[in-house]
Amino acid sequence: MRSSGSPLVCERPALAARARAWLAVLPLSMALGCARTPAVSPSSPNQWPAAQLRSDASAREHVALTVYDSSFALVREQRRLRLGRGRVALAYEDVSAQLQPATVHLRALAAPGDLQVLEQNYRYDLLTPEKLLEQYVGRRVSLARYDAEAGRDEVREALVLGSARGPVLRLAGDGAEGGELISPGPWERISFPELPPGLLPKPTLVWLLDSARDEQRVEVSYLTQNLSWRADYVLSLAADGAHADLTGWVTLDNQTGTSFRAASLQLVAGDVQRVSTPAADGFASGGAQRESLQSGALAEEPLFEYHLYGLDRPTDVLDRERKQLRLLEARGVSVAQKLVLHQPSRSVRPRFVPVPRPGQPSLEHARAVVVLENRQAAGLGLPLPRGVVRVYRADASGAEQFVGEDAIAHTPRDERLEIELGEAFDVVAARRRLNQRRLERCAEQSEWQIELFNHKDAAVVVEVVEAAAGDWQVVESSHPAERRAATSFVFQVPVPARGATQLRYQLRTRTCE
Amino acid sequence: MKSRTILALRWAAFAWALGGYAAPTAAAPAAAPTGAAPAAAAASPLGRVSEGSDRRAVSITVYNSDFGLVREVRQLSGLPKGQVALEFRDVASTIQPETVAIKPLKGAGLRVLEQNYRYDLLTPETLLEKYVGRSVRAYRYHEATGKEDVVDAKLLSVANGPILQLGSEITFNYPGRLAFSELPPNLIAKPTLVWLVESGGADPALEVSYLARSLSWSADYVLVLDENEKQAGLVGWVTLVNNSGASYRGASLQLVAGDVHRVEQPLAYDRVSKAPMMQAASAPPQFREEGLLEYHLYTLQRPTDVLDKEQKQVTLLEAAAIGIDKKLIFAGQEYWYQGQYGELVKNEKVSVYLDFQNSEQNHLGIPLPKGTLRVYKADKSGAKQFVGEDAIDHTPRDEKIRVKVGEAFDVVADRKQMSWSSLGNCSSESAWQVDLRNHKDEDVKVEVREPAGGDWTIVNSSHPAQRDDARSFHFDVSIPKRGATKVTYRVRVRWC
Repeated sequence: MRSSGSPLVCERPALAARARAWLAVLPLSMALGCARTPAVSPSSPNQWPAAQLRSDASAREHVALTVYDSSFALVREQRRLRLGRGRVALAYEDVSAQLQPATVHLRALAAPGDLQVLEQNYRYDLLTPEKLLEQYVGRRVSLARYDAEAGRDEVREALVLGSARGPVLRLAGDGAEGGELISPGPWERISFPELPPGLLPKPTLVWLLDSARDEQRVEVSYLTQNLSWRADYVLSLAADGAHADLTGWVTLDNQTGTSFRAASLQLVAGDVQRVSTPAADGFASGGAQRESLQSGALAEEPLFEYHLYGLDRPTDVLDRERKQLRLLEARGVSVAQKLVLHQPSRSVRPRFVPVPRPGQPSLEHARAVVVLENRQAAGLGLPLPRGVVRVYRADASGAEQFVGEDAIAHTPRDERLEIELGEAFDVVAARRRLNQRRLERCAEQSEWQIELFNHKDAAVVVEVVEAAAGDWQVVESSHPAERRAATSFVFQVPVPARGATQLRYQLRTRTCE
Repeated sequence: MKSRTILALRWAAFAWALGGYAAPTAAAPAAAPTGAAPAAAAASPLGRVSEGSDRRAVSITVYNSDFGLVREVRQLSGLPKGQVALEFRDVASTIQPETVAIKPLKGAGLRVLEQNYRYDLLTPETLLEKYVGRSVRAYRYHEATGKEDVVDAKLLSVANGPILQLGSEITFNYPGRLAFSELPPNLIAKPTLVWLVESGGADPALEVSYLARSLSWSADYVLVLDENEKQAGLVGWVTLVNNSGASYRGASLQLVAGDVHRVEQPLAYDRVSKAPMMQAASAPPQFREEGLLEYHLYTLQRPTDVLDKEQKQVTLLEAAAIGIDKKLIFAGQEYWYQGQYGELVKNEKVSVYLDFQNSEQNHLGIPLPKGTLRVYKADKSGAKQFVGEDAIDHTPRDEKIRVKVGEAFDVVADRKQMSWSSLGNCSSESAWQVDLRNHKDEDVKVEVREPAGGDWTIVNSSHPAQRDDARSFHFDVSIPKRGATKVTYRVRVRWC
């Protein structure tokens, strides 16, 4: 943004706070700066060179993205830089606006010794109207008043007195308004003779480098926020209800403020601990491609304790773009469907239910669940990254209809997935506590009745999951109870077509020591 | 005070300046070539655009919870051989891009390499941002000539307002407008689907499906009671609301009744649902019903137009001669048994409920999707009057429905606690008196419901108590016309 050869760069060392002793050398350093001589006397090791070089995306030769599924990414890019020899200041532009400055790493590709990083700065003192005014407090500016009639500016000299909450100026001269204090109106604007140093249009990475070669190829890597991916799955249930086709998609979202063109793309699935920077090395794609039934464009390989997916061709990852790539595909996967009734207190999410009418037990709907074994024998056996599974099923005419979606966690192979689809319209239950007896101080026994109604034309089996607290025991029950965990037990209750089944059980609980 | 005026003036200037910037950009999308200019600039492969006019068929399936599945077939033409960036326009603006699925139809010779959804929108702000460090032109109006003067400027920064370099001066608040020479690549007028496809050169047909928000339906029922309130006719209406930002003409329409699980819960949506008109047309049912997994799917038997920002009503079901049971219920509260209260309610109205069985014997026996049930009854002159409404949940066949209609005007009750004593930590014994008065010219029956809220035992009572479950009981009480009945009872309750 800074125009080359502008006088501002020459001004840089002329800081008001500098000791008077410096005044003697000032003219020399200014002269050097204006002549754009790169070398700076070695006696002042922390001295910044007067001229600042820039590098933007046009110098980019290669960019690689490794995107993690917790909204961050590792960016590695190579650029060809013309630095000249000696000490140079380099403003490195077109990086992510969301980069984490502490993770930036620069190295020369040819001979690492040829390029020394002396300092790295991330500058974010932005050029705004307020900042500009603030820097001009106590200095002279011009006040231009536009005369639309004449089509020209009427210009007066003025002194900036204050800038907090709007400018206050003293007009110069002895004529009309001379010496008056004013605040510019909407028809007036302040004109500044030059740009104060150090103010930037956007946050910028600036290096102080010691270069031993005229031209360098460098690799810069950093971590950035707001570049993320997640998996989206489509599960198409077959008409028999026992098989399904699974397609996995990767949805990549770029909100970094930067576009990465022709990037080589890799994705990491797994929860990476974030406090320190994850290891940036060891990303070489040496692993053999897995032999699996996936035919997508993304190849999978293990990486440390995670899974790494690489796209086999470069792709454009533009700013504010959501990109979808095929991750995996499996046909004829064995699935099972079941109906589950949870105790209402453990119901996962609230849903609008009309207030139960007095005397009418409120009906609970059973939930439809698809169970999928992630095993090779079942036709799958692939690592499934965290994401959303959307389930479709064909209607009588053969058109696929959406029947529900659920979020899944990272699922390694040989694990079991339960995907909740929604509430069964026609399988409902009414729950009543028939009896409640106190046995002793901390123990009681209650009798529960759950009436299950099946209004479908086919028989069903409902898995009834009940919760219990404390030290509990199912004393007696119409159907066998199976203890699932310390806090729950399960019944498998068959309900005939258009019929009802009564489940009754006695629960004894002890709640204090 | 003074500084406020100053600030106001400065803001006025900013606003004026910004307005000036907005002017040229507003025209920019229209000025851009209608071809895939932004997409073509963004990706190296050739760009092609598919619009609504390519659509051959569209079907929408609408769900209860404010979303829908849109499926359409488009016939593309003139695709060159090789990689093509295909911009797919005229989709719902509430599309969920991650749910888009493309399926090339029969021998399309087309392979989808990538699906992209671009949303880097062209706005005055993004345009300014992309021009930082570049040259722009600044115009300002010259009154004498009636024309605008132009100067070349450099845009230095746009953080908190544009800062310009005009020749050797730096300034802001420039009294005019900025003009930009070209559209920066990537900026687009509205969010767009762009697919990278490998085309075989033929004219392929594509089936595209996606989920979109802000498409919803609800059921509205009209229950018309006969004169003696023993039978009723029921008409169910479907109210379909489309706020998805797209119109679907000649669409085949399907509805799914049932609560489908969604990961991101759709936002609650305030529907302004107005009562449907009363003419219960006796047209044959227009929807065909079938089971879909654990839900019910209704298919409209003819294509229909579903326009954007439209509320549409279609009859779903009709039934006549449904047996109705009217009930008067007077209900108590759980916590009343846990403390000393004295006279609790006086002249409280008794609530009116309607019960009916959703069974075939009762001329119904069909799944009733959740919605609002409005009850009407004819007056002496035969004009139907509205008597109340209630919400019903998804109700399968063979279940009972109980809806609250309102409060009876002429049947009132008082309730008094006559005595109360504690029986230890969370147990009590209390005596009660309920006075029921009937001011009508006919006898009535009232159900007095007592949710005891715990393990209860009746010590004595004037009427037999009917056990409901471990925590509640009720009394069936008849009251003669223009008469009164007193119910007294004594009960022990333990609530923990």
